[in-house]
Amino acid sequence: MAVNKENVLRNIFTYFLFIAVVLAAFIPILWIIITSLKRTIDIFSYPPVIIPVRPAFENYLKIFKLAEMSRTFLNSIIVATSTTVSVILLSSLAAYGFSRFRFKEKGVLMLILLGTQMIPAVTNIIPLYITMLRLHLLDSLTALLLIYAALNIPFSVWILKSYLDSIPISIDEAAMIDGANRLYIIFRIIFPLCLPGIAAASLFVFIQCWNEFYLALVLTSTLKSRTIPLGLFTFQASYDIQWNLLSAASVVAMLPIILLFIILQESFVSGLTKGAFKG
Amino acid sequence: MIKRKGHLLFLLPALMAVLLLTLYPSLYAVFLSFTNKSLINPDYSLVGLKNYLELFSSGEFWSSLKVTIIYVVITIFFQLTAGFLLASVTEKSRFGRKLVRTVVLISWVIPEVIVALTFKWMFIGDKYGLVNAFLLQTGLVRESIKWLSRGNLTLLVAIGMTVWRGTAFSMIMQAAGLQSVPKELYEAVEIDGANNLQRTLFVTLPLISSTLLINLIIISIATFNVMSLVYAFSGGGPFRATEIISIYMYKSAFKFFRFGFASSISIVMFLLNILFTLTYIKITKREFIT
Amino acid sequence: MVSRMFVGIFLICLSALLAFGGGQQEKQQTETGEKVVLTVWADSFFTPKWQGRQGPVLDAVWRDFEAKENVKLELQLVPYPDFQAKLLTALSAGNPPDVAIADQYWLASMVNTGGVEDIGAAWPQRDREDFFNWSVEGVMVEGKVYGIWYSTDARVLYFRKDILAEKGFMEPPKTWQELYGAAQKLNSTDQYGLGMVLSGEGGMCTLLIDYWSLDGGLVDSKGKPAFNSGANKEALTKIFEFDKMLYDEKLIPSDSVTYMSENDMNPRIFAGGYAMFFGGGWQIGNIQDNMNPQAAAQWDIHLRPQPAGGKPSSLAGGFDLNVFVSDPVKKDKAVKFIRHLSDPVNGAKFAAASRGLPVRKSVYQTDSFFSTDPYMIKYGQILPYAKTRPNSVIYPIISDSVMKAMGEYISGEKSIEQALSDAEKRVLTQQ
Repeated sequence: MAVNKENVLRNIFTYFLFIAVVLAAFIPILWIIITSLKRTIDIFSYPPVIIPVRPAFENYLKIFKLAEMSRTFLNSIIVATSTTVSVILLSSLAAYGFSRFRFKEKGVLMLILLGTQMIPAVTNIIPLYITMLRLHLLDSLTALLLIYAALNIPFSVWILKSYLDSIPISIDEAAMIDGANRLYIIFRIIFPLCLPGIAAASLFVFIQCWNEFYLALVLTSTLKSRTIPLGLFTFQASYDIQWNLLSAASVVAMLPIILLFIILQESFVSGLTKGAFKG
Repeated sequence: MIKRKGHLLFLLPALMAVLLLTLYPSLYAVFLSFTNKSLINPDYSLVGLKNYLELFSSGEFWSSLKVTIIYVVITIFFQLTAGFLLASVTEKSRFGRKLVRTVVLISWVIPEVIVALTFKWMFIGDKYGLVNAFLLQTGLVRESIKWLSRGNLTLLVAIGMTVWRGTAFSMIMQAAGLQSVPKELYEAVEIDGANNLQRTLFVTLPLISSTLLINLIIISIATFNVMSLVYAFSGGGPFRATEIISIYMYKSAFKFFRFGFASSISIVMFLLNILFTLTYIKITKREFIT
Repeated sequence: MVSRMFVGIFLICLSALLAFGGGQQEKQQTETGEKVVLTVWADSFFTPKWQGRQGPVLDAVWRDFEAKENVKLELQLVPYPDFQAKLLTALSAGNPPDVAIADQYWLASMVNTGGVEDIGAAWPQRDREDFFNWSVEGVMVEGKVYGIWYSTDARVLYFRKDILAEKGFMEPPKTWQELYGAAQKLNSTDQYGLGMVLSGEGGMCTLLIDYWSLDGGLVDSKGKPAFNSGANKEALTKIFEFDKMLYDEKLIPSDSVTYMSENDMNPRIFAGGYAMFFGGGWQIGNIQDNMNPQAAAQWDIHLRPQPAGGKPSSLAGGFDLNVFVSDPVKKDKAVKFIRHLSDPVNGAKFAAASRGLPVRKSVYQTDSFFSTDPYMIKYGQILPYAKTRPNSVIYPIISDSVMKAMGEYISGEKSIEQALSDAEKRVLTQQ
């Protein structure tokens, strides 16, 4: 890189702007964390309390011990994990099919898959409610799993297919010459090569399931199948909003995903590349 | 590519799952849009195109359409740009990459309800709002800004909130796209004497154009379908200045319980989504499904 | 190795799903002697799960009932914003809870959908007489009794005694004229003279008090909208004009047009941004929880100031207890449950803890809290003047249309004439 005064100045400016933007982006998050540590009486004081004099750590205890958050948490983890696993399984098979075979319906089918993403989620709520009712699956994590899987498969298929497209078919051919059957090829050879793509798709699906609110609202009612977004509403009632507890619960709700992201970090980004986006 | 047979086996499970649980309910929604089904009335009947006629002749629909278009276009513009900028800067140096990605990810992952309420609260229109308190204390303004009582300002904040929340996705997508650009190309262009801007415009952008297109399509659809974020923030107000079309549909369905009418709105939304996507593809003349 | 890990995770998930993911139970017929299970839907504020004063109080009340009647109460918390939709969806699918604690103005829509049980037979007339008249009428649709009113709130004027006194006002304003004058004098750079809600259901409640003060009616005897004609229209016009004046002269913050419920005013209230506001009974509880005690003690309440020629008026909102289960054994227990919750002692305990208002006249005389707390005494005096929103299926549409019309007028988009006539059209087409 040519190093001259112009470049250096421009770089400094860029970094400065960049830091400012990141800091600004962090402020709402900071505010939520701060609020989560406030006592009720500090929430609305003016001038605004930036650092609580006595941090109310007990808020975090309250939300778990007394407000059923542990079960909600467990439910969200179960739903998100099982959905992610099922989606990856089904999508990788489908992605393989799309990538490795040539057939005339291919374009149409992919369009249909992507088309389902354009349907506003709220449209399907009533028919889905009635269907789940008839299947006796209302108020169950299974119902959520089924629907979330259906909603997330198209996008995962798309990511994985792009990723697979960049893995040369010669690998498949070499393995087949060696006498391996297709399934073996997929799981033992191709799959491991796809880990970054799988990591990427997994993270997306997990986040979608973790945050989804409306379908969960309509299809579940009791604690046994309540997920985190609904659990938060315990603190936002008809006559009062308990901001501090709500914030604490939100902080707790964010942690697993952040953890997951840190684990998947490196493999994640490279998963979306690999020549998948070449023109 | 190899043989043609056997492909169905791989595709079938995924396709079945999607079609059963997405397509079938949507078809039912199409049917509903031709009825006057209401949640508070057990009887309902087919009414032909009445819902659509009512929709297209109502001022609310057109004003919400206008608001939606402004909201979506500006939001996706900033999301794409910010995503690109963040991706480029973090790509060049390890410095802060993990930090930035984590911060940006958090904004994406916080439950919608609390994002909306936090922003609503931060932008309270007098000195009690965090933003105004800051602006007043630092002397940047003399009078607090009425963020939430002037229509265009509220829309502005709503857009800002959506950009804040959604940029993560674009950043991640484009970071991936950028990584696939071979470094040799950059070096070659440098040798030819190109500066940063030229390099970006003529080398980087064309190479990641597929990424950009996909990014654009996905966030268009996603932004178009945003509902509870804006609803919890402003309820569509003031005076419907932020009533995007999804809120209009939500109100019809869950405040007035007119499912038939609401279904017609969602069908129109679906068609608009398709229109957007086809427009993009036409404009860029790309075939992104090979 | 990777695949094995994958399979492993999948199996764990599968077993977790089987263990935890079960679907709804079949509705069971109860045998005599077996423990009856009642499902109860409520928003957290009304349940033992609330992280506040009433949580433990309700816990004791509910356990007491469970022990006495050999019943298991299965509580299901429902988020308030979508509660009505959830109830109606469940009712229309034939899958409602056994009992629900629902917002009072949803009753008409629920009855229309079908599935709400008539409990008139199990609620003795003698007991009914202890309730305020409007609270008994408020749970009736077409002559049948569909629930018991649990707790209420009254919309009143809140004012800061100290600030008013500073500016020479020893008494709160009692008429619009006085209100206007006071708001002007109390308005300052730091503080608005008045706070009120101008949109949403909260806005409609605020408007209705003045409307009823002027004897306005929303629906006629045939259930058709009646607000755009004759004396009703004049009343609405007066109210619109007065509110617009307050808005234009900045006596109320311009944010008010975005507020949909009285709670939206809370951040400013707690920060000391209002000298007076039109609020709900429960807000005294919010104030006491969120402000320091000296400041909180300066708030006082009074009947809303009346327009010229108007009479004292207030609006009672609140929640009632509804039963949906028809199986005789369960229904009997369910009715006993709601009567237990709303009996003089338990009802008062809940109201005191939650700062709601009891609906029983006797409580204001006999209960130690409600007969001595200064705010409660005042509420007890104000409640007889209260009315409730009509139990009509088109009420939500009327509410939304009228509020929309008000917004259009205040923003200058339409004249009152135009706005109201459009509102009427909307109601008629959407029925």
